[in-house]
This record gives sequence, structure tokens and C-alpha cells, in this order.
Amino acid sequence: MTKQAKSSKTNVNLAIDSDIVGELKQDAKNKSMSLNAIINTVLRKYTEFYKYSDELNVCMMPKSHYRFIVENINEKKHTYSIAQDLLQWIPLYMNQRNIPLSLDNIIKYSFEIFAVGGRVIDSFSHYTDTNGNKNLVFKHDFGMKFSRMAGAATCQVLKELLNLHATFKPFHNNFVVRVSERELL
Amino acid sequence: MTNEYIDKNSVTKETKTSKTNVNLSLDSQVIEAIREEADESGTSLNYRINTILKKYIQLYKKSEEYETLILPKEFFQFALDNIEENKMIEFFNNILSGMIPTILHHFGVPITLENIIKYFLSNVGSGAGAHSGATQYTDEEGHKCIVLRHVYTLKWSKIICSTLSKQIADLLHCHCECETLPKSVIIKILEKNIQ
Repeated sequence: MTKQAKSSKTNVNLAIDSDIVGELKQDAKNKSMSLNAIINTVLRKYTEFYKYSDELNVCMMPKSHYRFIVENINEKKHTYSIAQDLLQWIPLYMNQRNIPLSLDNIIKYSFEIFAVGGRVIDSFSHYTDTNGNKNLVFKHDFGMKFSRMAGAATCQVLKELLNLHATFKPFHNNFVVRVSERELL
Repeated sequence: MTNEYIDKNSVTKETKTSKTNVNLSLDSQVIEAIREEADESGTSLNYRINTILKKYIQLYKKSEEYETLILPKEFFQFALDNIEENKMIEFFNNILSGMIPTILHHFGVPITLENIIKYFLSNVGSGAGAHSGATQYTDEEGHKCIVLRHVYTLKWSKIICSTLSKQIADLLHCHCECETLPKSVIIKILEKNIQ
């Protein structure tokens, strides 16, 4: 059924429900992509994100719902809740994929894939400053209160999981977490 | 009493559909991960990929289009525990009044009770995790009843009753009664033969 083509690609012959193929073809046309590319993207998203989010028993809510929640819940309680969720999710996700817990892996899997994939964060980037500190930049759409909560929770998570010292700077729709690579004593 | 069971499994329920053969060149790493999953569940790679693509079309694609956030259910319970019931009712009433017609419009179907159950409650509501399943039946007096089950607390049952039954009544120009149970609600349509 399948034949190895190049090192990174495998040729597969599949019998897919015609209505699904029709929808995907339409999707491909709208996005100026090939059917092959769109199916590859969907399956990759599944293996990297949706598979695990299904296992973690998730719910979906429009941004407006989340904004309402952010506005109406006590900041301290909500910060604690975000930190607890991350402390539960990150090790579970890493363990399931047999990925060591490190700052680079948390950046790649938890922030780049999970936080952005879950759409809590619109975009994420990082850079190393002249002092050798790693700066993590999170953009979102939920205002200053969310920046304070998510920034504080991220610092707590990095401390608890990796024993790293981190501080954060909140802005209206983004926050920057500065991580010192030296471990806490 | 007739009983028609609908739940989120119906989203991926197999029906006799025609198949199209496609030859694809896919990332080996991705294929291997899905093949492992298929082996573990005792299904074929073909079946597993079909299921993933179907779920994508029916749920994840719409979630991406509507930019919905994906969060643990525990977080939603946390929100329920920490926000006043009245505030939540007001908020969901505002949201649902636009959301139900929009979703039916998106699917290209008219506003009827059957379509609200099929497209909004079973497809979107169950898929999004607002409830875990919907059952529809006609009681001995001929009233249509909808049962929604969920995994949250009684407060969520009260919120569903106050918001959803109102929205159904407004959209279909009918009257509803709602019974609140700890993990479910029963919405009864008082008018018979409602469309």
C-alpha cells in the first residue's frame, strides 16, 4: 500500500470518502494549494496538536467567551489556574512523546505548537539578547490583564519545571518573558 | 415514545459513502505516527486517515475558521465556578442569539428544530465540548423533548436551561419548559408538531 519515496516522504494510495475529498479539494482551491499539500497539513496538525488536545479532554470556545472570562475572574485565581493547567499539560505532552523537559523543547512544543495551536496565543517568537538571556514574546488579543496573568504563570511554570529564573513585562496585547539560563540555587 | 439518539459520535458515524482513490506523497514521520496509532487501535491506516480527515472537516476546520480557543474542560469548569450565574446567563443569551442562526446559515440549512438539534447541538455544541451528547424523543403527549448531557456542574445545567430554551423559543416562535438535572437538562417544546 505504501512505498518509501524520498527519505522524508512516503507515497500512499488511499481510498477516501468522496465527500471529504470534495471538501478538501475546495479548501485547496481556496488556499491555492494542492490536495496533497492540504492533506499533509491536516495530518501534520493532527499528529502535532489535535491528537493530544483530544486526549487532554478539551473544549472549544470563541475568543469572545474567553475575553468575557478574563474580564470576570479574579486575577490571582486565574493566574493560578493558568499555571496549574500548564504544569499539568506540559509534562504530560512531553512524556507522551518521549521528549525531554528542556527550555528549547518547551519553547518548541508548548509555546510554538500548543499555545499557538490552541489559539490562546496569536503568535510566538523568541530571541537571545546581548546578555545571553532568552526572551519569549507572546502576542495575544486579550488585553493587559491577560498579559499579567499569562506572564506570571509562565514564569512560575519555568521555575517549577526547569528551576529557571524568569521575569516578565506585560503590555496591552503581548508580554515578554525573559529567561535567565542560569538555574536557581 | 420514539427515541432518536444523536451524539457527537454521530459526527463520525460511518454511512455508506462512495470512495475516491487518491495517490499522495505525505511526510513519512506523520504517516508513521498515524500508522502506529492505527496498529494500536486495530484499524487500517486508510481507515484512520479517513477518520482524521472527516473530523477535521466537521470540527477542526470550523474551529479554525471561527478562531475558537482550545482549552481544557477543567478550565471551563473553573470559569463556571468563578463567574456569577446571572452574568453568564446574560453573556450566553447575547452570544447564542447570533450564533445559532449564523451556524445554520454556515451549513446552508433553514432554522428548524431538527436543524438546531442536528447542526448546532449535535455537531457544534457536542464537538466544542459544551455538552457530551444530545438525545431527542417525543413524549407520550406528543411534545418534542431534547436531552443534553454534560460533564460540568448543576450551575451549567441552569445556564443551559435559561439560555438555550429561550433561544429555541425565540427562533422557532414556540414555548419551552426546561428541567434542570445535575449533569443534564431536558428541554420540552410545548407546541406539538413544531417544525
